[in-house]
Amino acid sequence: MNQDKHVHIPIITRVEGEAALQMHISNGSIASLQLQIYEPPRFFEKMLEGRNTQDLLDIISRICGLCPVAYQMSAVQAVESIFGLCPSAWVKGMRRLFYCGEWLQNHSLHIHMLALPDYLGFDSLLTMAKDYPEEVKRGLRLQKLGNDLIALLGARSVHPVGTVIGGFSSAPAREKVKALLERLQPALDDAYSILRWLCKLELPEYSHEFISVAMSHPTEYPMVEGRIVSDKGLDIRIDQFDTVFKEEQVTYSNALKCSLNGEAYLVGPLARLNLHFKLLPHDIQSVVRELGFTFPTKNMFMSIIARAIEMILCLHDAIQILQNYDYPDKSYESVALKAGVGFGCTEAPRGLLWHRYQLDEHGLIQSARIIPPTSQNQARIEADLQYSLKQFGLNKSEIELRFFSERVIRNYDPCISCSTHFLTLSVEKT
Amino acid sequence: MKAIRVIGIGSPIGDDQIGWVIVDKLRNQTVLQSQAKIDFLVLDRPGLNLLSYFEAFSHVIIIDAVVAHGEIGKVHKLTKNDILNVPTVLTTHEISVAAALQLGEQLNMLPEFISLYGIEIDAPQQHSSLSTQLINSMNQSVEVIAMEIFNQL
Repeated sequence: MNQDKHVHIPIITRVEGEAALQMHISNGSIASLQLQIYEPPRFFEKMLEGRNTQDLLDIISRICGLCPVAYQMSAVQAVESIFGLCPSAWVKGMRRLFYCGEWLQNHSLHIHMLALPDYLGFDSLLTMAKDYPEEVKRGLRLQKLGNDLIALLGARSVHPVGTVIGGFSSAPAREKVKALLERLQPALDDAYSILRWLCKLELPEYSHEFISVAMSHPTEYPMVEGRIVSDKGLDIRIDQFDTVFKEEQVTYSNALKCSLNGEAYLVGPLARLNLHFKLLPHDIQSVVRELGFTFPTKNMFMSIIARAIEMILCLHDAIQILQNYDYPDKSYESVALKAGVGFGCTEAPRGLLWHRYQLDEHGLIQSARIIPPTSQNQARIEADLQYSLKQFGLNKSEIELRFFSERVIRNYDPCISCSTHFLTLSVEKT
Repeated sequence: MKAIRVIGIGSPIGDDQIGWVIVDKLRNQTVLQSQAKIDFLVLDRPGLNLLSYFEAFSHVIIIDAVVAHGEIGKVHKLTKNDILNVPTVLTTHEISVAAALQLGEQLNMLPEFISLYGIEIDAPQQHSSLSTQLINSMNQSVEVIAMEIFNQL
């Protein structure tokens, strides 16, 4: 039977930012599918031109209210590479701690506020909270702890201000470190409890082939530095990004789409775990195996589990870093301004965040390029929907198709405000 | 143990810091000084973390900027019931005070008494100081709120 269906979700709910999904089903197959990111472009790359590098850190954190640390960390890495500065071990440790705070608060927020209502049969966190108060409160505790870890180094969790080129503007006082450390062990217990609880969820099974891309580090689960690798053999330096990754503009989206040698690819927690499960601390690996989870996996619905595992990692690492905390002689290294081109790449909560800057001899930005994870996942989301919806059944009702599509998209935890941070702008004057 | 917590919520952007400024002025109000039962706190865009600041207080007063298209500087008082009936959408893009409090109600995290004083401001601005119009109306707002707090002691 020839059944034409048009499925339109004008506002995808429980994602960060504004996007729509438009799909046309004809003769039992998907004739067209578009993830329409209509949140307006925000022109950050243009705004940065002519600015100094401290302004860069203040401005860039405002691309996103959820992942300001990620933007600052990729930016600072790029600039420090131009200035020839190698951060001290103390600074590296603090940057990892800073990032642990951001991953923790982002993942907890995503799990409890965005994803879980689907799994538990609620339309929002508000309606879910009445039936699961202790679970929601646990999620809020961890989210707050993540924010407090960010504020330890950044003075506040919203658009933190503590990052400077070369380190941090000040070192946390020992008393503050001690107070936070006391909260971390109970929080680690909470995070394990969340993983055990999530074990009971019925995760849909829609495994299909995709490429996982993440950073790579020889000795640690990647967060703040490393190379870029894939599960198809990619292994490049971050300055080689443009040799294999390409961005293109599509007419229906304000976010550029990114491809790896012409193919869609996944970045984010599931990609990281697919590539680096064995870099997790052994305790965490044991618990994950004991609970029956296996990585690598090609089931995107395991993303919620991946985030829960990374929350445990963040707390584990934060405890280690703070247990070994020493008040430093200086919290940042001075820099000498230099002209040049620099690259930065770190793992934002949602995946690879790549920056490129060109500075002049006064340290002013001549050009900036920023490629956030959600832009990189855009093509993957569309490919996933193409596959998963066919498996789900295109003959289902429009309401069922809409609901399922939103769940597929939420697996990627898209941060749409990040993905529209810029657009190529050409102005023709006549 | 302190019974009343007065929380000024805001951000460093223009008139959105009015909650902070009013709380700082309330600390120095004669009727409220040396009242051991009152605790003052300012928070920068706390989102859902706002709920963690209510524990051990039987009474919470929140002061925040609001945009209700009324007279700049006007003080709107919202009761617990008013707040819980404000139409909200819980989104990571922007977690409003009302949305956070509505979640708190579901979680049984709200104190017995909670009220919100919303200070009318113009649309969000991009400068770092308070507008003249707000500065001119502020003292009256502070007095009104101070007396209301005092009457609840």
